[in-house]
Amino acid sequence: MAHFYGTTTGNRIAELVVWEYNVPRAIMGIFVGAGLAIGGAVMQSLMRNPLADPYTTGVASGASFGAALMIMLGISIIPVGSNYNLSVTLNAIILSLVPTIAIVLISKRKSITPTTMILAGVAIMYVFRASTSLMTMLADPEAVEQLYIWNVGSLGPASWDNVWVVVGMTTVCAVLLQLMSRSISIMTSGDRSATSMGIRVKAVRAVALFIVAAMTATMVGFTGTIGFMGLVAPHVARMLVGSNARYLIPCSAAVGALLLIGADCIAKVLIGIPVGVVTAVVGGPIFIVLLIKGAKKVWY
Amino acid sequence: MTTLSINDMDFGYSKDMPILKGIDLELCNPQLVSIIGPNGAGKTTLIHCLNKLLSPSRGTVLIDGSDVAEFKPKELAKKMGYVPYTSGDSFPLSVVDTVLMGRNPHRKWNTLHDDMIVVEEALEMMDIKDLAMRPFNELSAGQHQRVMLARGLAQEPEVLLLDEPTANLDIRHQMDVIRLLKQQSTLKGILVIMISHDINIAAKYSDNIIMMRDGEIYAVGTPMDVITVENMKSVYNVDADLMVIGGRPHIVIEDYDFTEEDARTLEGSYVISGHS
Repeated sequence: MAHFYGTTTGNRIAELVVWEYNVPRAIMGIFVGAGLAIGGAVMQSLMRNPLADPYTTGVASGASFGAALMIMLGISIIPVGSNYNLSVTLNAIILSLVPTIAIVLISKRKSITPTTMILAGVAIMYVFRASTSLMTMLADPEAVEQLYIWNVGSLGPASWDNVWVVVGMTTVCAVLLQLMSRSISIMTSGDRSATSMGIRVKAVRAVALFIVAAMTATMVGFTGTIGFMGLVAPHVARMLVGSNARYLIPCSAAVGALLLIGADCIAKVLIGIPVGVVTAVVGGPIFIVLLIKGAKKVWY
Repeated sequence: MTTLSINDMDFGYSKDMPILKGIDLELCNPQLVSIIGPNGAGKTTLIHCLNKLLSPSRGTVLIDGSDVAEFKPKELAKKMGYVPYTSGDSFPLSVVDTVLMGRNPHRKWNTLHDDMIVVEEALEMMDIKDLAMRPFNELSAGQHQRVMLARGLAQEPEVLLLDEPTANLDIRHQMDVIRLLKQQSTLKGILVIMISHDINIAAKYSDNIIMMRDGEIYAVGTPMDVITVENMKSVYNVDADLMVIGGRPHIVIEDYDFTEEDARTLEGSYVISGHS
């Protein structure tokens, strides 16, 4: 608070820690949580599958492979000189877009159903994972440890230099998806029904998937792969406000932001544990309980 | 008046396996038309070709002389509505939100008061106004069907295509729905085209019947023209007795394959269940 009131009294170090470390970390947590949850909600609706989220469709494994290329082999897809972190981020962003591009291209074929798209995403995920594993076997232990931390996901890298990129990207993408919310809702009724109600099914699916992928890729590039949020938060939101995307998107954003901030608080209390571990360890059992109690109300 | 013309239309998923062959039809509103025929005759495929869900491999579908293939999705949705056999909703919405989907071709950014009036009318017509705020997945199969019909009516199309609209309904609701479709076709001048497996209901309420066999139109005309003992034998391979009730044909299928052995089995099971 001292920063806002322009006073320089008090513990200068504490102020620096709060302003330079905790505030950007909190902002990053809010927007990454919201973005992952929105991505999950939209992907589930578009694919008509409760298991779809930005990670189960291969985005995370693509990002992980991209990061591994730089961390293990020092390969930068876009050369940015000696900036190591920027190289890791750009690699992750570029390669996390590959599965989505593949899914959108595959979906142009007439016989492809949303389930096939998810299966294609899973297949691409295995290819990336296997390639990453191969690199891990050949790399030195220090690089492996670095990649592991990146894979689990952490809000630690948040700073005033990078938080605005995530804030800007998430805001723009969330607004665009909210504007598409009516079409996204109608698409849950099935491709044929949606087409007969005037929706350009393939175009809506392709555009929305690209928006989700771009948003997720940006977040993953900075924080690593924080798992589970894109899957859990939308389902909690569905239990609260139903599946109409008009309400589901903002509610998922709120739930995602709260869950990730909460998980990060726990992660910080238990010093040294990445937030991705907390979201999975705490989120998993809670999600199972919610499933048992509320699944019937949320999907077929 | 809206005219739907189908000209020499073929459809097949591959060249070797044609599903529809040489379909020629001209239908005008208002009327209720039923498509009947055995399973695999191509009834659903025909409906899907009419509203661009499938693209014919040859021939054209015209509404008032304009090729359906040239219509933009929203323009076509204003002209033609479709009620599928089953709802594919994987994440159910409330009943009112589901019916409101039908207004999509007419809506801009916001839901207008006029849209809500149309939705309310559709809910009233289907006698489901009291279910408006209920989640779709908590309804019975019959209620599902009525919600889907309400969604089709809320779309206010000139041509309404229905795939077995009475499939999950009890006899009372079957009659109500078909009467309502008939009434809507007259009042609002809609051309209603429905697939039906209930030949007697189709015969009782339809203005015209299309009888299909093996991807071709076997007979078209008034129920009295199409529902005949001969046509029933050659299309369904069943022997039927025909009665005429109120100027409409009514068929009774004979159990021509019912053997003495079947009779003994049935008698035995009856005795067992009678004693228990």
